[in-house]
Amino acid sequence: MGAYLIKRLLQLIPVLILASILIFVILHSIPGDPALVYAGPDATPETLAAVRADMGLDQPWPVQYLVWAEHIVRLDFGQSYTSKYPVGELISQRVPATLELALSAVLLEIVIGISFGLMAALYQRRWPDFVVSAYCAIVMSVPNFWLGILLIIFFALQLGWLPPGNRVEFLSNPGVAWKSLIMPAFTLALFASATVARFTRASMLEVLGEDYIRTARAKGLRERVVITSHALRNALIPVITIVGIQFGYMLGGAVVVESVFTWPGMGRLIMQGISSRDYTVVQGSLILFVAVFVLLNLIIDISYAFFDPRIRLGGKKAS
Amino acid sequence: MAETAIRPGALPLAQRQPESLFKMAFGRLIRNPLGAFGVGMTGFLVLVAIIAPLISPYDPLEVHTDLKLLAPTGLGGQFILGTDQYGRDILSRIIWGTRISLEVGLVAVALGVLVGVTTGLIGGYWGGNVEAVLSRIWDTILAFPAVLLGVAVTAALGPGTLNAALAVAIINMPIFYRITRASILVENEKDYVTAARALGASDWRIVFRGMMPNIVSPLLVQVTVAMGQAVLLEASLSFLGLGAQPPEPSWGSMLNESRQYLRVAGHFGIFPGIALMMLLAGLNTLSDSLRDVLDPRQIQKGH
Repeated sequence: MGAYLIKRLLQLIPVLILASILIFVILHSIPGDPALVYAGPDATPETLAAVRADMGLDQPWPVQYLVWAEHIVRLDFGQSYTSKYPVGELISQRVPATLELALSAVLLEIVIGISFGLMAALYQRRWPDFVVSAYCAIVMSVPNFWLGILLIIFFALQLGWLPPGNRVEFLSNPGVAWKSLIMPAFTLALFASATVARFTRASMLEVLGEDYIRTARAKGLRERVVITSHALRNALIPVITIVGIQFGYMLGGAVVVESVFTWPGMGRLIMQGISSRDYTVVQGSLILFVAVFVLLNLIIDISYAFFDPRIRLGGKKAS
Repeated sequence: MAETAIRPGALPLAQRQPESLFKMAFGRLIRNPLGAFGVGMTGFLVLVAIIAPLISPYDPLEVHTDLKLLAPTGLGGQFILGTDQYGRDILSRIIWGTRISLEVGLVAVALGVLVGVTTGLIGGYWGGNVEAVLSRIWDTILAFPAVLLGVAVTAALGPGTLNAALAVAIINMPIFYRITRASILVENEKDYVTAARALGASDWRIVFRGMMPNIVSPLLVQVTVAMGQAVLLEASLSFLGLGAQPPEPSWGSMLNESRQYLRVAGHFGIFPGIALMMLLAGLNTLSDSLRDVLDPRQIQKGH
């Protein structure tokens, strides 16, 4: 397991290097002069030249990239062009909001997905199963930003139960905070809950057909014990990895959902950075997103190996 | 799955020509209720897009300055689904928006297939360093959450429908690369390829005449999956202001514009979403049932 882990970690390095090059190239092909953004519209040509030299923008691209990459490795994300704050500081201000949103969404996804999937499996081909499969089909066709708009129309504007947007921090006012969190979290969770439900159902049905379930029943164990401590426990192993994969997608989805609910997270930071041409902010946030996403996928892969010894030791892959 | 069982008298797998596979698949697709729904819904919206000029009650850009944010009048009224913030007819904009969604989807998927499948064939068939380099490049693209890469690419290229399509295409390429490469690797081990090689068939012939027909099924399923994702991604990018630009009637940008008027004109935020949901539901059920129909295990079960 140790050697396998080290091998997989080393494989991350080229992917991260290539991704950082890609981010750099994309960001530097955005039309407009970063020096102008930094110095403001009234800057004289001399000031602009000075700013350019100061930020290293007069250097060739490869040199600029190496300088940036070297800073990133030391976790120095540079300085925001517009607010002049260190980008690392801006990011660390925004990370809690996105994490709070994504983790609450995961919690909702697990609760809804697993209970629906379990219900569908236990009542296979009876009405609960059909209800759940209809739920999945519908939910998978609802774009998250539209769901957000519908929730705002209904629960915020018509009924007035929940605020239409903005985040209230839990530490400052927990009574209001959960109200501001519930719609964005649900919006982000809904699609994923359908995937989890489908997986739980399939996995549960497979496990229920195993011999050890028959043995457990033959021993005279009560059905509830068979389901919870024999079947469900094993059925949930593949579901855990699906939850992990969905968490990665949620990081992307957060960009859209944060925009719907004016949620002050990483997604908003990137979108604001793009509209104000604050490239260092966008660059730093993107590389962080990619690093987390890639690491998450690695953890999922390793968890497969952890739960299923057949995959371990790299050597032969199933395909 | 009784309705997917193969009809008696159908040719055995080995003798079947690729054309008849599709005929058979389509036949089974529309006999299955979900498949019929997918084909019907997608077909209906494709038709709407084609005949948009004929059925759209107004020009999608026509402004009625004194009739802003009108509530829906329902069938028979002046503005069936109401008007937007400039007094434009929402129904007409939704009808024309079908075109944008499908056009972006088609361009993005076609480009994704073209580049992804070509590089997949090259990587899978010739292997070696070429494959290693190609796989690294596509792995890099997959290291990004799709929406984020779309946001970054459209920010760099500038907002617009074509650039959104290009961004979505880039996201699709590695997926088609992986499917093609994996399928080719499997085919490469098969006896008919060895036989063809022994007979001195050219690489070109082996790949295009021999392997291609055998790997079309998974690609076809992925095309329908990718269409749904492309439509969704275009709408998301337009919603974020990076896709279609005003006054273009894209569903995503309509929903984005509606956000400022939800209090006074909730319908503006509802109807474009329903259109989007219809198209996604059609494409999703189409790809789900196509996967069942083209699954070789299902086909063989019928024997």
